[in-house]
Amino acid sequence: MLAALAAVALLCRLFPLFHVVSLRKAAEQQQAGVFKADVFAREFWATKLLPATERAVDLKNLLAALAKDPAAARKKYGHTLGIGGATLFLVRGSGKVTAVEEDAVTVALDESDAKVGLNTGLLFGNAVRDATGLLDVSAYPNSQDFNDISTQLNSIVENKVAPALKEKAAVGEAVRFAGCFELEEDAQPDAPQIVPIKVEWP
Amino acid sequence: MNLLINKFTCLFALTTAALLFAAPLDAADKPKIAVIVSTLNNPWFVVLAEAAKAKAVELGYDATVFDSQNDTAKEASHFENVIAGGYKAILFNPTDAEGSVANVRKAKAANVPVFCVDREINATDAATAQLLSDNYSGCVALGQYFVKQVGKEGKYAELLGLVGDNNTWNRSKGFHSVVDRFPGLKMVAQQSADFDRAKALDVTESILQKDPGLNAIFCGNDAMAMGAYQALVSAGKADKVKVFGFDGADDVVKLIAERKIAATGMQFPKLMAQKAAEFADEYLKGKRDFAQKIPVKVELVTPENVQKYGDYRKKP
Repeated sequence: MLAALAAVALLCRLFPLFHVVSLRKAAEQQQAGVFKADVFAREFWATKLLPATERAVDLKNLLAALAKDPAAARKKYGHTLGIGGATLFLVRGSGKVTAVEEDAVTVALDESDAKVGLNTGLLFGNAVRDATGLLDVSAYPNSQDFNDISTQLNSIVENKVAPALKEKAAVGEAVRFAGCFELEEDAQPDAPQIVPIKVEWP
Repeated sequence: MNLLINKFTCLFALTTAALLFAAPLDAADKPKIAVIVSTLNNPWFVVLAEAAKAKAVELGYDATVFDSQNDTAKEASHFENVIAGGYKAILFNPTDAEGSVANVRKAKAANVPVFCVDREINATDAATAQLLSDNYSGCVALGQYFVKQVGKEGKYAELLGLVGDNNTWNRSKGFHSVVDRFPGLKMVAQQSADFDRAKALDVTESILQKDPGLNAIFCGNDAMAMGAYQALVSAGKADKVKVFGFDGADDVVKLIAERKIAATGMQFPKLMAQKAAEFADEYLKGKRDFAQKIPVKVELVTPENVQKYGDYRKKP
């Protein structure tokens, strides 16, 4: 009997029935480790995103196209990730600042009746990551890496672009900008909120 | 007597022959598709598995569901049986993002295409395609709603799902990407309840004993939200602690309509499962160019828009 118990104890020691893994360790293991989202995001910003803004659609033209034929405009100018997602647009525009608030700078677009907000508050979501259509989720074995890119791109906007915009923005100033615009599946572009990528004061 | 035995023998032989040939003949006409699902001990996965099976049958296949019971060893043996059994395709809901990769590779080596549904595997060269809920973005939206409802100050607990599953961390990280920006919101407990209702009940009871002043509980799925809610009801705190889930399970959607649960993220299990079956059918008819990962949008369900949802989908 004792021998049998000893044998079972030995077996359990050699081949444990379960392993205790702390949540922190499990979370760390989950972070694929090799992928550095912050480095990737900085490089993407400088070498892909900023150059892409040169080819971005003019926001007043996009808004006119969306008013005329939303489905065609989304297809022509936007990108959608997977099934049922929002449409993301990379846009540029110019106008005059009409209000400066805590979380947004409002701009009346040139040659248009539209007013848009340039977001200067907390930023969530994937507008910056997905607006160019240059990043493909299929290239990332662990989608957490792909999601981390969003977090890092958003932090560039929050820490670099938005503070500079807020500092210079004053009612009546002329401004030129490029940014990302997210339009939910069934939504109308009534009061577009743009995530600023590049801001210039001509 | 001999005659009687002979008659019986004859009858028996005939019946056996009928049983042996009649049923398989019918099924043998149709190619077989396997639906291997992580667990059938959660109604959400039952919906996923049944929807995949029904669509495969509708497309002219003979479909069978295999339950891995959240056990990668069981999952591995299902794969072996399915490959040996001559199945033409596998609609697969993996148990473990890492642990399930080898199974998918085995099937691929045997020329059996695998279509992952709802959960991903950490490989982009093994499955033919992966249809995945955009858990991270869904929980970013849920996190923003959480801050609106709970406020910028308060104490909350988080119930995590299976720690080996990527969905667990994509949900948790999406949620925290928002909530952690508000330093007044303090997480007093973070524990895994394995996506399981009964475990969530136990874990919530012990959290409530330790921290009676809780304002909210964020749960990584709706089964755990139901368990947490049940624990709160027993403790007489259901109206003081806001529960947030994820999945869009019917029981939780009903409780949101009754304003007893605060919100959930609606995934679309039927849509994903049906698409996976359609993909398998297209593959077997010759299509090869599938996107590896196809994110499927998750929608925030709250008391304000709950009437639009039910039966694991958006109402038409």
